[in-house]
Amino acid sequence: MKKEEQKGALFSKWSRRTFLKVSAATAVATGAVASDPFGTGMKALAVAQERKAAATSKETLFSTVCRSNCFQCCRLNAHVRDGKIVKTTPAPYPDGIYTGICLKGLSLVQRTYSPTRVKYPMRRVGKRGEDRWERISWETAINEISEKFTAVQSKHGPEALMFDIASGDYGFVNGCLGMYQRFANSIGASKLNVCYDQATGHGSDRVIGGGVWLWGSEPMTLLDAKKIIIWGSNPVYSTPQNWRIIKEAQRKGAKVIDIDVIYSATANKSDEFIPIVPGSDLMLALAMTNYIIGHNLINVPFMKARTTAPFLVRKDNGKMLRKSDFDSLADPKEDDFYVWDSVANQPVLLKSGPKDVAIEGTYNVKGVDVETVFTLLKNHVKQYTVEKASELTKIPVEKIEYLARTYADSPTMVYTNYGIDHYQNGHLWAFAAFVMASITGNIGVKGAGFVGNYVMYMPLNYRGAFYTNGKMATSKIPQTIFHQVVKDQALAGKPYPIKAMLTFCSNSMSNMGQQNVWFTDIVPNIDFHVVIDFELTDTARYADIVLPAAFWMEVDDLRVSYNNPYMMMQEKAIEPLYESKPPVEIFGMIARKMGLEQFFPKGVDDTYWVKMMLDSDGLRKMNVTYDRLKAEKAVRVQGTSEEPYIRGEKYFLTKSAGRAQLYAENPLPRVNYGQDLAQITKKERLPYFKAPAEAWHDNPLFKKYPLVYIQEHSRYRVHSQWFNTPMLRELDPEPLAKISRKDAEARKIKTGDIVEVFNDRGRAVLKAEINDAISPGVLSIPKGWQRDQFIKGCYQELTSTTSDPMAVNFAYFDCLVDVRKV
Amino acid sequence: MRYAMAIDLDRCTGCQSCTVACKVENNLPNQIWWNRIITVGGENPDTPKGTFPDLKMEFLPVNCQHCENPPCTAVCPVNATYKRDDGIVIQDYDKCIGCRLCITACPYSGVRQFNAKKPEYAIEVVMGDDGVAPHKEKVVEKCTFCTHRLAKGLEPACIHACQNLARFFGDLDDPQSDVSKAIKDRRYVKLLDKKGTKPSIFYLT
Repeated sequence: MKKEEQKGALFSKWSRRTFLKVSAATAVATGAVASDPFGTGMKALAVAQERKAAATSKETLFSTVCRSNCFQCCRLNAHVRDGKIVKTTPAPYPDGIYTGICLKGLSLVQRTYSPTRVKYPMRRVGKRGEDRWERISWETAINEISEKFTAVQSKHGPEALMFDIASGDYGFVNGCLGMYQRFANSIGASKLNVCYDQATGHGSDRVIGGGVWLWGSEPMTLLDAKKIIIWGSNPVYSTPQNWRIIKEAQRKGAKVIDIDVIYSATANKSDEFIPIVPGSDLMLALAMTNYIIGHNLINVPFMKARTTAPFLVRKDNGKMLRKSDFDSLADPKEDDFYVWDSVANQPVLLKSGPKDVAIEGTYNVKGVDVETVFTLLKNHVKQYTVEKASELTKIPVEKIEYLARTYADSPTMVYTNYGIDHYQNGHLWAFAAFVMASITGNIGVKGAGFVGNYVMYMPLNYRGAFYTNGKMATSKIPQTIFHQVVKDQALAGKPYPIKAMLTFCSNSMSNMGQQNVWFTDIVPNIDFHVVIDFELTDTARYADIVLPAAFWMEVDDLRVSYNNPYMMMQEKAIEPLYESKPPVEIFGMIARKMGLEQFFPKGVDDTYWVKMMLDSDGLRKMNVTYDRLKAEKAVRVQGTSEEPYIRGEKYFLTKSAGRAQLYAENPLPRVNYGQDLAQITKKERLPYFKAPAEAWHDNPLFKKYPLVYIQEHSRYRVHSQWFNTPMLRELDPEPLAKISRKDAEARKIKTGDIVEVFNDRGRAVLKAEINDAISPGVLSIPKGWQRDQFIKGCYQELTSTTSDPMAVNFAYFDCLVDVRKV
Repeated sequence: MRYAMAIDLDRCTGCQSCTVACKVENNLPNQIWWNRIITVGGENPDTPKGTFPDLKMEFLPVNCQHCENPPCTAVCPVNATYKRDDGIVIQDYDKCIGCRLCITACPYSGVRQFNAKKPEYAIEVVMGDDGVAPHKEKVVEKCTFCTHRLAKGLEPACIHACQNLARFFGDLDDPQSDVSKAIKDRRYVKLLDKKGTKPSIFYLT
């Protein structure tokens, strides 16, 4: 009752007017400290205080960094007293706006000393998954593993040993970017091609190049945006350090618009929330593009200077018109693109430097019919009217037009990550969104572009560290078809035996789509499976041998940040607990037993490997050295405080003269495993509308399973990490199926009822929560719970392995279910 | 001197950094939280109120309000709870007899917590600062404004950990303190102010 009273007191006040917006404006106007907590370096000051106080107590501070895969990278201090970590606190970055850690980083003491940690090597004694183990010695474990790996490789070929590695630890020595690669390469094993979060980057790569990861700008650039459109992302939960910067931009006056299928915590904090039908974001982007072109909201000078808009495309074969179409060239580097010189009214080569170029028109060049890329694009997107988009997205026509105008009024930033990525049309949305950015000049300039995943490529000593004897691991099998390959022991009709598997930095069973394929196809057909982890995850529970990895703060390591511009030294704060060992040492022990002592010398520590990774001329040129990292802990390696890094500011990483490509002449799949591309290659040259494969209203399955199932990120886990951290389970004790009021009432489901969420692939039995944030027609189970945390089944049983043939990516949200009370 | 705290509800996302930092710093036993996030919205935590998509949700971090007129101290039969000169309301575990009159008297439900049984911990390691008084069975405990940290010149753990920089602390009598600057020219509410408790937590709206 009291709580209600408390709430009531506030709510009555708030409902009188929109208090928050008024007060935000007041704060900005008066310049109160609360409106600018970064200005005076308050946070940095506070952290310095902490350090000083710790220095005078019995505590020692170690500079470390959270290494999970939330697309943040939080520097933190580990406080050690009497040889034990007693707490973790935020450690400062030189740019204070990046300083901060979330509840997961703050609860790392409980992950370190987790009562359920894997403490010693264990061998399965019951059936797989039965969770019956015997403790074995390291010697026994290493002997058995090396013997079995050697036997499998000699009998079935080196590739019959599969390395199953994902993103659980971003260390460059002990993590998924580290020395396991030295081992896997040295024995020529197979490596699974990761199919998580690949579609956004696959789409952006078509436009600005840079591969799957190099598409985002440094988050600080958000502060220069006039408008921020958060599209298919919930940074308040999933990337809270980025949210802090978005919030700061908002307080400075940027308008924040959120487009999402649910009313997320981010929608709650945005100036405007635009709900959208799941999987229809692509149509929205195409219609906005059409509207922008049709209403002349394009940025012509930008298009002429920085995009392929003026390039000429041959009508006969869809290829760009090049110098080599007419001349034979001694060196392919001499090739060039034709454009139409609009002053001289004739075709010229781009490098000739025409004064002005046409971005529209149909021409004939030496007998070849051509049109400009922009004309091609313009005519192509005419079919995507705002009316059609309104029908599919359920966003009113006027709202779409408003969005298009708002977007074109640059600088506008799009904040996105991997929500839209989780449909089978995800890469086409990114393709469309990056094209839209390119025609409006909303990319490569201050305050515009894309933020959400800022990744830096650093010139580490990859060659020296990862390649030893000329052998190399192969990566031909995407995760999406792994179950099929293991079941058939064949890839694309050719024998591909896979008999042993090593899982590291990964809880694949929990994170790959369609969990039941593990029980039907994968587990029964793998003879020997080793998992290296800290906890008994779902994947570890089905292994034959589990090895205890030393936790993040028990090793020295190196990290190149995500979403901030630093490289960081990670200091070992305590000795590895129990019988755990640093992963690099575990790989060393197996490797030495397999005769690779020369590449994994005995008796070296983590620092030896850290120094090896840093041993590169590229880094020396940047003045990034071991000593400097050791002294400064966090070193900015891209951009500056004054000029934060803008992706594509000088040029884009494309083969079209460094220009943003509005047309993909030769679209290739992200990974080619023999899939049929004949029907789509030409289509994929321009962004086009493709409905989600399953989660779409005209799919006949929709009648049977009328709810689109999404697995949102919660505050409390990163994928499946922190799944059993005790204090977080006090706050968030069990999985919940979040259902809209309308859908719940139709099924007579009340909050607290036990329900079964089901489809033809599997089920999850858990508690229901009626949640008004959930749009009717959507059901959400926050991801990351392990099988034994459900009453029956698991959230990941419901999803599919079917992927788009170009993006080759798990499309978790492209999934239909229904729910019933049990 | 009067210690006070300001919480900017526009910045607060209910992210639980303050609650978790408090739990760690003070080595709080299982199920004990001195600081909690109340969702002002739907029936359950983190849910909004209204009809999709016209929804509303706010977060309210609630710890001991360190009232200027604390109802708890008035009812304590053994003076286990009292107000210090600097405004902090203290709970002395050695004096507390576990009668829980203070919990009944406090209008802010849940900020005072009772260890009904011997405190239990999820891990063996004693978390947090070694200056924190050990938790005891059958006594009431609550937020101390981290007096052990104040003694070292540090701000409370929740302030330091707030990733959204929504929390401010300091001496209300000092116009240069963070809290004084934070509330200057801002609208704020105090919880259940009409009860005359005069809380020291300012919720900036």
